[in-house]
Amino acid sequence: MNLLAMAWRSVRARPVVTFLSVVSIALGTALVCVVLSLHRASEEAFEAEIGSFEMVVGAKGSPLQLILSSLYFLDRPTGNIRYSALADVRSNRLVRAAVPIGLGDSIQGYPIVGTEALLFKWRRRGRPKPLFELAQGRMFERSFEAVLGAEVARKTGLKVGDTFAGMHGMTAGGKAHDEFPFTVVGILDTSGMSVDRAAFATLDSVWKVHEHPDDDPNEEKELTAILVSLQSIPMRWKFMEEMNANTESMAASPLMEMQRLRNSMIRPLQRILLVVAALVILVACLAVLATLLQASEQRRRDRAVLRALGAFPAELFTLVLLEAMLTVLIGVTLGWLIGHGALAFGAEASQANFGMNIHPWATGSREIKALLLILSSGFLAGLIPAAVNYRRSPVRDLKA
Amino acid sequence: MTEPGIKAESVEGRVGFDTAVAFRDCRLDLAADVRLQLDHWSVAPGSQVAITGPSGCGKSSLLHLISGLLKPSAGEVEVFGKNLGAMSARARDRFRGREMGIIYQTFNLLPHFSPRENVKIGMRFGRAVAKADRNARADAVLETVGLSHRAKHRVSTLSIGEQQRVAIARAIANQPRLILADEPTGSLDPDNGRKVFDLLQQLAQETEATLVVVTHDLELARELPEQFDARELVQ
Repeated sequence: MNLLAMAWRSVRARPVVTFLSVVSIALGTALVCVVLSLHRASEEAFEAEIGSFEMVVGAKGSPLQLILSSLYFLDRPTGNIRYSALADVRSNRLVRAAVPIGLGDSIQGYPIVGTEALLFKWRRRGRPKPLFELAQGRMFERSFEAVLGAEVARKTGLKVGDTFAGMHGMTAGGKAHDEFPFTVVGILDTSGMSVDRAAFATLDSVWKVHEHPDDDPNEEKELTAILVSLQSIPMRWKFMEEMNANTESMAASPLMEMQRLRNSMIRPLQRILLVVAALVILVACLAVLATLLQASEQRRRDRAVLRALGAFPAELFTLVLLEAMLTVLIGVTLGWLIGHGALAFGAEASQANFGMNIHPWATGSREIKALLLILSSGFLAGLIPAAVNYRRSPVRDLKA
Repeated sequence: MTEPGIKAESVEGRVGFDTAVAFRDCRLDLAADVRLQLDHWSVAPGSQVAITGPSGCGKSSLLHLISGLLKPSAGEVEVFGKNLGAMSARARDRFRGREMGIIYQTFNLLPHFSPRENVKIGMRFGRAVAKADRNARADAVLETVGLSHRAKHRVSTLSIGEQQRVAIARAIANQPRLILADEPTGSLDPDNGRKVFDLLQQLAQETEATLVVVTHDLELARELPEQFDARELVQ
């Protein structure tokens, strides 16, 4: 019988304390797995969007609000800018590409975004594939043809060929524009980005819905924002300076604004969660330590017997350490399964409610490091009873 | 009686030393002003000796000195020509595992293992029996002590007498040259005590092992060829 088999028997021989230690470690590990996976998913979502659009030009106001409204469709727009601003931006020597965004109505709470087909040819810098791909149908070509984001299609049940009417405003329950029905011509593939939560049509579709008979036909149309890709990323500062000097519009950097938001709001919350998870792990490791010390006390006689049989102190040291490692390993494995199982359970809800695409069974490098840290903590927790045992004379525990 | 499992190796040379156990000017400090002193004492190879004396007279300490679990504060304890005090701790553990089988009053079996596993664990740490032979040897020694039918039961389900027989099986599995027994009948009723004592004597005789038994039962002690009175050891 080898030492590992003996350690396993010893762990199994005290089911209640082993169970409690394993559960403590598993819960802590599950919490760590969930926090880190969500953190990773949110980072990926942010990075995908931020990395795809280097600048956003919109009406003066809060830069963060501009980003949240025109890139993430999460806030009210800061206002509108003249349509001619698009030509100005496109003619700027610093600009590689620009695509307009016009927000108007919504469908079941999802925004209907007026834009150009160029948006769907948009490539992230250095990437060969377009950001968004069609899962079904085709791109819009005429007014009142709509392409739905994946989540919008899933939630509304609309299919290619179906028609729908936009609701006035950005929230569900507004006045329906029944006189201007949209026809679904395409559905986008899931991207994990905010486009999943929007419907897209031509800009003039959005304008026409809101036209009044007494409107001045020569009045210039308006846009909500312009998404911009620069010739090179370092040109960001110069572009912002130039645009902000313009009295009518401003340029905001999604990277800067979202980093500011993350640093001020999200990161502290993530840190708090990580601290809680670390505390849970610490408590779990202390529970393992207490369990092992208690077991070591109970097994003093057994260890003394093994010494009498000829076992080396180093072998007993290894035996106690193996017991600790087995307990921690089971706890960590179970915790990983619980954590990622919970993520798998909540993945769809996360996609539906927050647009965050979670890969529930993917284990990132930070999570692997955290798991190794937990295992190392278990190893350290095992060292103490192993060392106590190592130094103990067997004669005291061998009762005649 | 010849058990192929037990007699797997030759016992030639087992009595090749003048003494199995020898004490020379040995002193063991038990407390600030309490010491165990034994100037000269030797046990011949193959002999059977009973150490007698009242409780607290140092009988068990004497046994621990022979087994090398205790190191003398001064003097020498030699077992089959090896000065235990001069050996490294690891060498002493290895020597004890290979050359000695120890039996205790409270059996000191590992409760979560079966009798067969207890015997095999003894062989694993004794390092005297090749891994491939351990199963056969464990079965053979359990048969020798009459416990084949209980080999795979949990130790805790065995009777007291059966548990002591498992302890004996474990002690003899490595074919030790020296069997040390510390009050082996102390926890048994007279009938079982008698059986265990006879079994020990018989097995020691068959394997030509030296047997040193600590007992306070003078009647049993007198059945062994030699007795050592430990009354004056602790000063």
